[in-house]
Amino acid sequence: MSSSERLGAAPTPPNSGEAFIDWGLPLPEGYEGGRVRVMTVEPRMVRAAWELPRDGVHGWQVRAEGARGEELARLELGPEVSEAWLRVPAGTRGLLRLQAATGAGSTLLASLPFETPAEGPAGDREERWARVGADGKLTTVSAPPGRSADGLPGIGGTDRTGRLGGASSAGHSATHARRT
Amino acid sequence: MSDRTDTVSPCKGSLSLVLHAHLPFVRHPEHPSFLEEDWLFEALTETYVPLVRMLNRLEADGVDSPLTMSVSPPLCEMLADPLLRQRYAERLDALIILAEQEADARRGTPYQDAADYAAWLLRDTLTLWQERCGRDILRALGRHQEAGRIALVTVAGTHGYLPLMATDAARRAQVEVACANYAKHFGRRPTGIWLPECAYAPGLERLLADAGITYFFMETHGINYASPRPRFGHYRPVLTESGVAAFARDPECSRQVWSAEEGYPGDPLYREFYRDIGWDAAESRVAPIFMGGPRRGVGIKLHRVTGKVALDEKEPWVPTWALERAAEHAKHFLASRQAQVSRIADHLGAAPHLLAPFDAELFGHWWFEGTAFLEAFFRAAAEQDTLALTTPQRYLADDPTAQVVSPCASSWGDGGSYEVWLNGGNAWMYQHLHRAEEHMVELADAHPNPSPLERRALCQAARELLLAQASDWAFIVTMATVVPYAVRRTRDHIARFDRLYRELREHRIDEAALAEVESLDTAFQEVDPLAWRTDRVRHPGAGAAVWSVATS
Repeated sequence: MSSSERLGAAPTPPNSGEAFIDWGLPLPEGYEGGRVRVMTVEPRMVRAAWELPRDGVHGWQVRAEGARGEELARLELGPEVSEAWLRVPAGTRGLLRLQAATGAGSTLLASLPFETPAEGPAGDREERWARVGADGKLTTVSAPPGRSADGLPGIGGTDRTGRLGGASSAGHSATHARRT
Repeated sequence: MSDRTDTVSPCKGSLSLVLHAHLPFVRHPEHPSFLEEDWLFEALTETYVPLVRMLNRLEADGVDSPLTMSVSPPLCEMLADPLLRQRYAERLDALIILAEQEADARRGTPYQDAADYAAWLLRDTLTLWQERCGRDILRALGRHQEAGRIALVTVAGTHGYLPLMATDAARRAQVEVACANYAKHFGRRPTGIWLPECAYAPGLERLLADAGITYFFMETHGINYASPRPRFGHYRPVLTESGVAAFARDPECSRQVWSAEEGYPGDPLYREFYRDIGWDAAESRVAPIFMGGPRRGVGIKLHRVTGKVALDEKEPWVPTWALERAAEHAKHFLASRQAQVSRIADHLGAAPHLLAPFDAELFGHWWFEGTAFLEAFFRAAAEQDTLALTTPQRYLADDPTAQVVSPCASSWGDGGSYEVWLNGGNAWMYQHLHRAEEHMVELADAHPNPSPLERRALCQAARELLLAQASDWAFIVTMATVVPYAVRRTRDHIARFDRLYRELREHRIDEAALAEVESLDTAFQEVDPLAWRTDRVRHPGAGAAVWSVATS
């Protein structure tokens, strides 16, 4: 048995005159058991993806709800779709309901509660200061002297320059262009 | 270091310089030469060996060099790999021959100094790496750590993007694999960790605390958007409820080095990255380097940036000019940081701490003079006392008091969240990665006492999952660089994992096939597959940005 047979390598394509790109071994087309997953993308977006039987399904309704059941986002999608990117408010806790349009209209699944990150500084300014003891636990201590950093660069939500964005783009491309 | 500004000490604040060294695990024994292995060879020649050279020189001159370096487990595994070491030795030998030919050919031309320098540097690299380090860069770095000159921290597992993992066990295992790998290479457990891509989700620190980690690094707004609002913002580390400290990147420090507009690396006197004799020399002369592979850069570069001109208008690189400019930039960087901490100290009424993290490969590889800049910076810093250079570990030992907050979900990617690693181009990966995680947990739970053959298969399944989880693959797809390679690596590791999963579940392990995969993906021989067991999970949901529901 050759290496490629044993490892299930993708077959070499016929000589079509085009450059062959090795995209690697084939992946499973599906998996046993259904799943719905919600993933935080950024403060105002979550991605829902599902692996569910499509038999008899004419379409999907994906609805994101806030903590009090209020609707945050809703999408109507065709039966062939298996993911949705939903705009939601930043700093939100919610859950996602996935409904199949079969005529019955019953809720198929509700996700576990998800949350999106804050988009700015917290309003809560209550302070607790501590040290780590020998047992690894926190010991509360009195606050040191000093004033708030408000007004300094990067404080207050105006500078979200990450590694790959804005002013840092040169460094980013430098680091990863090596992989070209 | 003083906790607060006073009238006795002129020290206004402190700075931790952190270099993050990481490459994905690229080792292809199935080919005599493989393009992507160049990533390691280039980084060794241009960054890792020069950093050791710098540390050795500073040590010899008695100059303090409190550098913090994260060295990722895949990089550690490659640096310690006998095959890759042998290939690197052969590459260096071939490069030295090429560089000496080039030096001879350039004699009496404006390129003579640059060519002579390249030949000398390659010979010195071989001497340092092979003879003084015994081909073992990790041992050289470890020696500097043991002497207290630098701090080495680990990086989660295979640079897996922890918040986007679906299972608690997988996140926990990435941390545990990191700590075990660090202990293998450096002889002790790590105290600090670099979260891959600085990707953080609330609760992750609980996993770190369980592993004995005492500090980690974050993007700026991870602390500035924490709750409650930190009084000193990112200008001081914070404590999480788990007792693990978080340090956040100072963007002002980064900008001066990273920025295309304001940064140093674009100076006209510095060596031009994109002009390389791999492209310029006659093909017959460079062909031995490529061993039948595609033509590419070889790292011997004789031109300077010059300015905004076409590549064929670049002027000769002059080593002395460039190194003098690096020293000037180091002094400028130091003066800027002195001014910055003085200004912030006045505002806060307290001494700030600045965290300046960079990808290690920026220094030397992308910015050739970068390691000379670092050396000059350490030398200049040793001559003044306005800015104290420190490491996070030293800082926490000197000043353990910090505000307790819950940091905000964040990463250092574009936009500050997870979108670089989760978008329309790479989202397909997660279905397979998440299922593989679940299957690994299932295997670990089902085999508490595996037979020797089952254990081999379990270990290999764990390796395949870990290698598939590298954040590099999703990143490469987003950046549209070597997309076929990233896709191939993801698919290969998932497919190999899936095969092992089926065989273990069906009690029919193909030992010959297993041996073949073991010979290909050799990283993490110490891996413990039971690290994925459900009963090892102590903090459900900690560090998750994925919420799953399974149907029956």
